[in-house]
Amino acid sequence: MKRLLIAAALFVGLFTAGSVLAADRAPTAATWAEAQALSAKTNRPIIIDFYADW
Amino acid sequence: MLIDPKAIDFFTNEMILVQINGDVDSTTKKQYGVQGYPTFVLVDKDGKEVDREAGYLETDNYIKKFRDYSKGIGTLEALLKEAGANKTRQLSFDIAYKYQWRGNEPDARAWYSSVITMGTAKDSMAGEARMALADMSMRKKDYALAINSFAEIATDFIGTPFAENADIYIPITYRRMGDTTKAITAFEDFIKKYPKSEEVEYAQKQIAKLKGEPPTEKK
Repeated sequence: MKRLLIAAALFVGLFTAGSVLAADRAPTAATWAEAQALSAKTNRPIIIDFYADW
Repeated sequence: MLIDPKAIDFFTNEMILVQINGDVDSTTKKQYGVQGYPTFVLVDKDGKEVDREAGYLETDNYIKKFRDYSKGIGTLEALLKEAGANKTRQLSFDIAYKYQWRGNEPDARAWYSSVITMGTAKDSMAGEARMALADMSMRKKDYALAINSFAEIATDFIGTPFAENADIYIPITYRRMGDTTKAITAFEDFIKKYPKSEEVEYAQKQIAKLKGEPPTEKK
């Protein structure tokens, strides 16, 4: 039971940390198709950020 | 910039951001004529460009520019319309700049040339336009024209930052064309000519690299 509680606490902790990390950065559409679908749904324009791994 | 709370809010409520690695997706990069990174392109739902910004911008300025672009303010289309009614030198410069960063070299050249002919060939706006023209020649691999243009700017703008900027681009152009000997000589000439320049360290590093010397630790 104790192990189960620790595992559950760890899971909640990791989930919260993940959410905070996700909220610390501007949200991005995963693909162009997703961006188009979101744009059609919300009527928001799309900005493409071209970047390079340096 | 993308971790700024204002940017997070902007991309949560007003715009949709999609990131493309230009080195991986070279087709899309080419399609939009991306000239460097980062480049942010505002598009409509069909992917047609509204306008763009190249390089890093401070968040407030970035948000303002893209809000304006989304309303049709300050876009290339809007500037062209304005120039149709009243073609000023500043408008011509702004239009040329936009064409340049869209990778539309012929139109950029035409508008930068207008900037030069509308004023004197040796004032600061002409200097900017001439540097842009020379830079486009270099990127287009028209190296002879680029070197000639940079050399003319260095002569015409002697004693100004344009001359120094043009002079550092001469060895850079030689290096790009693969002429190591001329590149080294031109970098050495640059150091002799501008011993107090901020670019001296860069020039020294380039000489060492071109000579195949191992990098030295900064003291």
